Amino acid sequence: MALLEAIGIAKSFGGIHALSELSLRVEAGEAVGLVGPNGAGKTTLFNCLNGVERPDTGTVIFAGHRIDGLPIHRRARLGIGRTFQRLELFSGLTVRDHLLVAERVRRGGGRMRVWRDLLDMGGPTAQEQAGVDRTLDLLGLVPVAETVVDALTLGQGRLVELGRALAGEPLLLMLDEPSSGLDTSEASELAGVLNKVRHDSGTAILLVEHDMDMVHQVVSRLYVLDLGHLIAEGDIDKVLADPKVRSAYLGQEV
Amino acid sequence: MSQLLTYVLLGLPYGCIYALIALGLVLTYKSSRVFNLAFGAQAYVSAVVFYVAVRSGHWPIWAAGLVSIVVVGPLLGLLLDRLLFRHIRVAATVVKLGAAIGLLLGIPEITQVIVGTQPQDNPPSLFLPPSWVFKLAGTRVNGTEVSTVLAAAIVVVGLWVLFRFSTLGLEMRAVSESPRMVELVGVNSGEVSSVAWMLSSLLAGLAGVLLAPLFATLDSYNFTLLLIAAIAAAALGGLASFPWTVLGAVAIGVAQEVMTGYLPLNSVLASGLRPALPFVVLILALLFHPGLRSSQDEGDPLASCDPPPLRAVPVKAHREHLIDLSLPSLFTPLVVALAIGSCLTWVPQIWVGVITVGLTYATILLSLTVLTGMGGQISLCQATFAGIGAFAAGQLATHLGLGFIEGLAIGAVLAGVLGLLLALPALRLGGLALALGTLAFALLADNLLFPLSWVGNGQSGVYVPRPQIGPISFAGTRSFFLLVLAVLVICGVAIALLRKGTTGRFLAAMGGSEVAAGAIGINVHWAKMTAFVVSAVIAGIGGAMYGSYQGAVGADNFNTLISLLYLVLVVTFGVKTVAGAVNAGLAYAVLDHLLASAPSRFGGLAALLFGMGAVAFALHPQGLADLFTARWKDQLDRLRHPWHGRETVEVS
Ligand SMILES: Nc1ncnc2c1ncn2[C@@H]1O[C@H](COP(=O)(O)OP(=O)(O)OP(=O)(O)O)[C@@H](O)[C@H]1O
Ligand SMILES: [Mg+2]
Repeated sequence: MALLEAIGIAKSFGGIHALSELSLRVEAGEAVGLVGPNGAGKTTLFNCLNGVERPDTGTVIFAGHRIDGLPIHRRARLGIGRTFQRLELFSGLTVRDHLLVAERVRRGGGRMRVWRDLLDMGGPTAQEQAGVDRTLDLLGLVPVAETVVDALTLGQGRLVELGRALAGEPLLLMLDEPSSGLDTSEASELAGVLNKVRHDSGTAILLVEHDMDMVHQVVSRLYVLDLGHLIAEGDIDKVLADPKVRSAYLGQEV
Repeated sequence: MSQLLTYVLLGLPYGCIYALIALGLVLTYKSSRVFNLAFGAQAYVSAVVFYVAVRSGHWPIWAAGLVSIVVVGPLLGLLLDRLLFRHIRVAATVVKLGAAIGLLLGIPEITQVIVGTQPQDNPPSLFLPPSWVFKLAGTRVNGTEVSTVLAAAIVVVGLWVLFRFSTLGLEMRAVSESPRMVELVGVNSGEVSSVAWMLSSLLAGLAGVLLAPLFATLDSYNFTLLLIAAIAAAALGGLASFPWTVLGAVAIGVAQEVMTGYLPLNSVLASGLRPALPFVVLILALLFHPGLRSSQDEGDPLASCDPPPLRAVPVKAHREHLIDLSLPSLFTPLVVALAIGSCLTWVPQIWVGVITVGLTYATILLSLTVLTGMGGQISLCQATFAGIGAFAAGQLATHLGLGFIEGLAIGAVLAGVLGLLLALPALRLGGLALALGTLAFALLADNLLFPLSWVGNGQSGVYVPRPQIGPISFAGTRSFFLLVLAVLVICGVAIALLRKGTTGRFLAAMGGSEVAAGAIGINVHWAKMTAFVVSAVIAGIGGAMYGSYQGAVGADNFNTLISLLYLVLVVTFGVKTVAGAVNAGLAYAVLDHLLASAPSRFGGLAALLFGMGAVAFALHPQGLADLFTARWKDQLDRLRHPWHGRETVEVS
């Protein structure tokens, strides 16, 4: 059974049909790409999958659970991690704090425990710190670990979001244009990190990305979206050779 | 039928004035993303200038009107824009609101310092006098009402023409979308926003002068209350649509008069519901208007294309307040112990009292440390929670003979329940919308809850006893001081523990980004409710202690203006730290005591000073002390290296 199965997702904002009857599946441990021109509905699809937005119609099944009625935090606790196209960092917190919050959620549940905080100190445990150090190391964030995120560059901010999602040890990692704000060498470094994560922990990846080099490095299967419709899906090389895809998305450049 | 028409005609002038103020609010909100709560205060200034010019200066009406509306109004708007608001466009919502509230509290005080506090009775009217009466459809209509409606109609049509057909109008609409985009096509967006401010302040001035004769006497509080009706109208228009704003404003004005006409006289409904209508409308609009609900400031759509702004970004642990009294040397355990020891022995009783009040304020302000400092939720109704605590303790002692401590516990629980009730609708709101919702809630409590004899007992107030625990009485000044201190320490330590633990981390995450907090698995609704309940409980405890110190408290001790003052205090002294709340409470109590003996026109100076403190904080979030040292270093560097330093941009 597929890890993620979305069937017939539709979403409109007023008169705009951002998504029309769209279906998509991701197998466990698989890396899948999702591409399409600006405004195609990629971010909207992410929002419908992880619960930021409620689709008008459609079913979402994740790891055997029907999740389209669940609130966002329940979906996260089932194993969906994501990053945001427009950075959503916890302003005022350091990079380390970001990862510590995520570690604490994974280990302790998403509810707060006022009484336990009042009784014991509730500070970070040694295990949590070790986990955070591993993630910092993996993403090369050690030099900025104690920096408040408001002072980071866009690229560093994207890495912090990635780290925060990884700290939750998700089954599925959804990345919304992770390479924007990175230069070419950083982008290919990031691709390496994603491959390593998938290899080591079996995390499935759903990648929205405009940088086709990076898409090539990471994914094996591709969905192409245009104006809320799926126009192609399948093996990445076959899809990219499709003339319909070339005219809708890639234009002259390939 | 004709009776209904009468009430409609009576309500029309109010509706028109609401419309003028609401249009101004929307105009400035769109052009500079600042919700100018000081708008009522600006209207008040023009009204006072007009009054003084006519009554004391014996100017002709037209000259006074010209100066107060066309000169003073826009000038004030220009100053506010140039000196303050344009610099804080992208600041945090709490900072922007703090600055606006600082002005709301400060501007009337400055005005009183200048013109004095003698009552300004019987304000003159701009066009036709109220004595000029004629009959319209069987209803007596007076001149003030006619001129108000006419003036408002002219302004609304004028604005519509301006926005629809002029380049300036087009530019203003564009700036509200994205100032950067507008700059790219070569328009000076700063100038456009200045024009928007002047225009909206002109509307405020006009509204103020038109409104004045509808009251028996000029009072800044009336103007602030009317502001709420205007805010409700602006909310009906989604803080964006001019036509809906005008329609909403007129509807609210008319509905109020119709209610007065048809509700039974002398009932609680009539006395409470009519003034409360705008607050109810505001709450409903916030909850159900699709565009407002999640009014997390969207910001400039081009913002993400820019490099990070060249401002001094705090890199390590950063300072979040203007005045930093918590110098390590000042707060060593030894000094604190000495201070406490002194208060228990030789310090005069009167000063022990002042410090005790300061500590009770500090306890109340700690409630904002939790809610706003840790959770990023802005509340403008903390005094309401404090009031619930105080009134419960007092009423339970008076009517059921309960001891103070039992009353305090029950009061704290009741405040917590109220906090939960408020949190449930507030779950859907964030940022500015939440602030406005809590503001409406506080005003609702002022009007409907606190006047009840079994709650705040209106102006007569409630008697609150001093505590007695077993055989030990805390009636004496020094022993009560010790108890207040103990309560404060308990609350402070509890907050410090929460901050270190899961609660603090989750609240900080929620304050940073609700979506992202949810996306990593934090139950944001639960976190918000917890923050509201904990905060309300602490406010209730602090309120009960304050009540017990005063001995008797009434609705005026816990009204909305007090809530606004609380926010300004913590914003100035530090909303993130326990020390910030303690400093703010003590400083306010001391200053208030010192000013109590000053001449009456300086009576409100404490509010003024702290209001200006919040404004200064908005401008220099890194703290004034840092600012001065930075300047000084800069000067020194220039003396040493006169050849460079001009062009360098300082990024610390
Ligand atoms: N909250 C919203 N309200 C109204 N319209 C929206 C909203 N969110 C998205 N849209 C519209 O839905 C469509 C799809 O937008 P979406 O952000 O999903 O595209 P995208 O594929 O992620 O584009 P990009 O590559 O630019 O990120 C667009 O036309 C967008 O304007
Ligand atoms: Mg997108």
